[in-house]
Amino acid sequence: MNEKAIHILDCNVAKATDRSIVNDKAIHPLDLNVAKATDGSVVKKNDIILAASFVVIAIICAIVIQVFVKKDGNIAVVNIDGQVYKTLSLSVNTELKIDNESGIDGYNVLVIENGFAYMKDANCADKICVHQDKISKVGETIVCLPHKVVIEIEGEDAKLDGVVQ
Amino acid sequence: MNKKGKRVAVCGVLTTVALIFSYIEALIPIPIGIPGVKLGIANIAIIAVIYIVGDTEAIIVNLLRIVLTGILFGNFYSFLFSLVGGMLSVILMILVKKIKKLSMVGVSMIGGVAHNVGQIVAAVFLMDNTAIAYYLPVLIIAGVVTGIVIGYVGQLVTKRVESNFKVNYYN
Repeated sequence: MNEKAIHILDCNVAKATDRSIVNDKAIHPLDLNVAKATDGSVVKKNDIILAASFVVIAIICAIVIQVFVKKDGNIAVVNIDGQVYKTLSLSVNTELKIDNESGIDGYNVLVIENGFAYMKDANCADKICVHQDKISKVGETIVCLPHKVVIEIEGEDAKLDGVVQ
Repeated sequence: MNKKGKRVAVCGVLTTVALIFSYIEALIPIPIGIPGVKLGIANIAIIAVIYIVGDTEAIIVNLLRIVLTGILFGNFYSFLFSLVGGMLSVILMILVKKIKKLSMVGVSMIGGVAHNVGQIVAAVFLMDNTAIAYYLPVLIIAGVVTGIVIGYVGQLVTKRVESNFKVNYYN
């Protein structure tokens, strides 16, 4: 959009002289102001409303998912480097140490307690796995990326191939 | 934009820009347990096409860059996610722009969210795993953020090229 409004007659003159700054159609001064507004200022309020609505929607989704959609799981599957290492029942309180014997370079300590699973300790550099919240619902995971350890909760449809007591 | 040759040339350039951005974002691993989910940075070129060239051109450019990215840099899954997310994104951006209630930033936000939501929906169906939907809240927020960034950069770009190309903010 040009910076100046152009009178209709001037437009025809400009066309005749083929000046590249002129638009193909004449622009009414009011339209120009409206168009200028879309460059940023006036319509920005709607943008903020939109962004805020999305944030609210996201929060509502998160709450709905957490409370209604997620199902309680009954087993915790320990994967090392993509392969299933052990399957633990959530109803049995245990502590499992995964270390060099299990095939990782270091150690992770997994705890099952009161139907929840969490990483009690690990010797990885950032200990993100240890700081992660305890999990209990189907699909939730605790991941230790440096050690390639993934703990995933599975539910009723899952098949137990072995339970560690 | 007036002359047909100019339109085609600009579309070509912007398709290439979209490809480059797709390559860059393929290098950024997204910390989500689904391979192939992408941020949608290529939308910067798509939104430029929408505002500088036109709607049908935007759809074609988008389709082109999705197919080319899939062939060049992607795998089967990333191509399908990108297809669903990308086409949903472009169609919604075009429709929202017509309503004329949002600036480029707002349109871009819609595009970003649509892109991510489309990917999640595609992933849930293709991987047959509802747990993927747990990432919906995070990806909605990510869509808003990338949308804001892309919209703002898009505004900077269109202001710069205004002297050479007629930008239709208001269609």
